[in-house]
Amino acid sequence: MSTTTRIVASALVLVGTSRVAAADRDIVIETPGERSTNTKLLLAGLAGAGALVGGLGVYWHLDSRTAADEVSAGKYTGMAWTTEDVALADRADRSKTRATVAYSIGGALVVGAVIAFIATDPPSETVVIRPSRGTPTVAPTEGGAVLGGMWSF
Amino acid sequence: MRAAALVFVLAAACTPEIVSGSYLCGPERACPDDQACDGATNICVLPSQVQPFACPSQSETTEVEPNDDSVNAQLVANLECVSRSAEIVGCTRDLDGEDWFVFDVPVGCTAVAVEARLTFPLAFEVLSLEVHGSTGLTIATGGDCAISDAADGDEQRCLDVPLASGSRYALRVARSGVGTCGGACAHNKYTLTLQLKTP
Repeated sequence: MSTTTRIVASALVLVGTSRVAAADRDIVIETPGERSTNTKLLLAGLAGAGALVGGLGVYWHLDSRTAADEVSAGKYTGMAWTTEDVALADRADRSKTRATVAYSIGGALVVGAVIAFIATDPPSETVVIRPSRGTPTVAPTEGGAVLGGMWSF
Repeated sequence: MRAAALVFVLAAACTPEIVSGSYLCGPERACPDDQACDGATNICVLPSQVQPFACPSQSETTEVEPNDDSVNAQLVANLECVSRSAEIVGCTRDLDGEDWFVFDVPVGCTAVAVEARLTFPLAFEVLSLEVHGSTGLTIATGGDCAISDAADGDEQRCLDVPLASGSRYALRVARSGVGTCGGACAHNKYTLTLQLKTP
């Protein structure tokens, strides 16, 4: 082997070693988890039921307010307090109670959906690839050298 | 914080807000919750402001007691064939269950009728109106008026009856026994108007 050949072979070994050192860090691959279909259905059901019952609450709330506004008075009206007024006041009270119950149930369902969403959050899967240090091999050949390496995953 | 305040305002708006003195009393002293019927004005007020029932003041009352039967009936005088409207303000309470008024139809009216209207607060006992002939028989009983609005706190009874010229008739205003609040509001005040007219 000539002197020139040896110099080239040494240079290749040095370059190869530095490349392997760069690849020495772990490779981390994180795969997000996925909820099962049943869990998704449960969450959608809870949230949907909450929204539905909350919507009913809004309906009764508005109905209650309409009825209350019809009999509310801040000054002398010149009108008698009739059975129709009594019915309106009763309706306002009844719808208010229904709205309160609906808001409570709807709110509980939505909160339950949020809690279930958090509780059923599937863990993400993390895969760490640890590249083993490459072992450079240099095989002098006639008129040069062959540089090789081996890695495992 | 603002959202909480908004929710509170929305929830509060669901309860009727009725200021004391806003409504006249309904049938049998009906009033909104937490209010009661003032007997003096028949207006719904706070319970602490309620006064007992009171007849119109003496200066307002034109009914003269005793007039509790046809014999002692109060005379409504000077009616012509086509008369002015005579108005009587009266009151029935306690043992005074009925008031009688007589009037004469002038001689010589070609055709004549009496038009009478009895107006009273619907908060207290319902009153009835009758017209009696000279024999004492009931000729007609007051019914619903053609133009009437119970929402204004008053109830009305009307009658419109042809009469014979040159005769005496009597009007009887009496408590009916309806709407007495179980006896607690077995009284009422009234305004009776009558006039003779050509039918």
